[in-house]
Amino acid sequence: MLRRLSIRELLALVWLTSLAMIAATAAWLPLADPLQINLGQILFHPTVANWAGTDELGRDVLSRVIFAARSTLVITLGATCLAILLGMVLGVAAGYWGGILDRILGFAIDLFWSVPFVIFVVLIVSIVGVSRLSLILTIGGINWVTSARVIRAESASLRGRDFIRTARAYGFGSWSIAFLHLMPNLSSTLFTLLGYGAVEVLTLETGLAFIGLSLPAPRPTWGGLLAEGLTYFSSAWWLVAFSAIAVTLTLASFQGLAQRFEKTIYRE
Amino acid sequence: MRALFHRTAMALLTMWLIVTIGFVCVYKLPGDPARMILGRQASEEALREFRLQAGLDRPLWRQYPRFVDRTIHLNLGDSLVYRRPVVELIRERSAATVKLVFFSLLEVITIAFIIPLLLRLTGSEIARNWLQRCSVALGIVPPYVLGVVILAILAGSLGWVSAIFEPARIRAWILPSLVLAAYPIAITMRLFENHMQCELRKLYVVRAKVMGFSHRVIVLREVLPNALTTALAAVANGLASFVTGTFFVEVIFGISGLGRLTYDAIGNKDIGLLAGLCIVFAVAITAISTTLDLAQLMIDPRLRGRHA
Repeated sequence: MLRRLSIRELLALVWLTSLAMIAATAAWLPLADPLQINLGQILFHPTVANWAGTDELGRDVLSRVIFAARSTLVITLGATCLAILLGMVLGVAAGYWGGILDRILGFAIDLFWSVPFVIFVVLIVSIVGVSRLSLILTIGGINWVTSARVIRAESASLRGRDFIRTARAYGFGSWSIAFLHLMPNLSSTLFTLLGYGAVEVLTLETGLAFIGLSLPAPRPTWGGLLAEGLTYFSSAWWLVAFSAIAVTLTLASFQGLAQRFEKTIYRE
Repeated sequence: MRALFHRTAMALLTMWLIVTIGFVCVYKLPGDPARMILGRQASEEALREFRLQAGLDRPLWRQYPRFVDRTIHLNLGDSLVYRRPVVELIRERSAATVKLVFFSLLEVITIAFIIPLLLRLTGSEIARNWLQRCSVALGIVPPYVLGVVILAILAGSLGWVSAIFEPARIRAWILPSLVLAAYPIAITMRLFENHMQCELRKLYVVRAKVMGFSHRVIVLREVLPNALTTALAAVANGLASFVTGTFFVEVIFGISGLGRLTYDAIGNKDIGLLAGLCIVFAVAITAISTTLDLAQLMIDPRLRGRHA
């Protein structure tokens, strides 16, 4: 499926895997403690000792960006998977079984589509409080609509195909047809949705952190780092630069891979 | 006519859902609503009085209609920090946000529609490709990253623009509104371009060419109306991200509008104000997107049969 990657897609893959690996092993890497305050080196330029400089409390910016990647990636992955899972179950149920189920879900999708839930995430998260779990549940809980819509349409079009009819004629039950025969044909769609979903979730999560809804104070997040950098933008460019690069590259990588999978769908 | 009715009914249903979600968020999520709205320092007495006044001691089926009724009459309660009615605060601050959105929309229309159209007419393939590439790149960068980076470069390192926002000067609005417009421009331009491309390959264009119409007439009179409706739909779809974009842009550039108010409400844990703002934002988005949809129905008769 992934033959002949373009340079851009290869770079995206390399960036995402290395980011994930560095973030996963951050605790064992020779990095400065991201929470270690050192008032002797406030707002230092990037040097050999601190590759990305230090912030207003003398903490190492590079290690803060890397440790921020941990929570950000966990939340992005968790929320995206939750959204896709919800969308897949509902979409296949409605698209494959059809009937009254399909009509109810279709109506629900139309209705949910028109409510700007993004706004309410702000309210819900500030009432419930910010934690990894609350972010995953709220962001994942509102993002299922897109995937449900796409998967519903795809499985409805697959339902009439010959291989499904054959399976039915052989006497397979509808559960095993839905999960064993229908689902595998949706894999390209799923990966595409996963990529675009990750872009959406990461944008939202970082945006929430930027306006102050990030994990409790000393723990770094990309959005929080950007907001800190905003305060010192005129004197310390490195505070902004490294978190901005990390966010943008990650978003671009997810987007690039999603487009790649999208192309394979159209080719089939 | 039936499609019009359907769309309006859907909009009303959406508004009801929005108010209900607001109610559920404030009154039914874990936590004591009285304490959330009055703040942590509130005395036992004040809490008891608030519970009585807001009817928190009554059953759910009595509380809910009360909340809906008050919201319809634009009574969104008081703000904890400002000690003033939420509606008043929102009315005061909305001027700056409306101005920002207005400038951004102007920019979206000029940049996303007129430039690609001019390039189509003059027909430079290379310029069009570059435009496409730029818009793809721009579409990935979220507004908060773009805003912070542009401010750090232009005001911090180069010192070209003042870091302090002066609302009276019209020039001060250029940068914030451009940052807000960047993402919608990228999306709309790409869709508009793709659609023009598709339409230009269709049979009616070939026929017009054979009949001897000039390229300019074909693009302006035949292709443009067909491509415009989809682009309008793209603008309507991107409305939510447009509105949330104002949060970031106002915080970054220090514009005291609704986005800034939301930011402060989050910082102060002012749940009463935040709930009011969320409801107002959501209702505004629904109202605008419904209007855009209806406008599309009027322009494009093909769409009328689809919903009904």
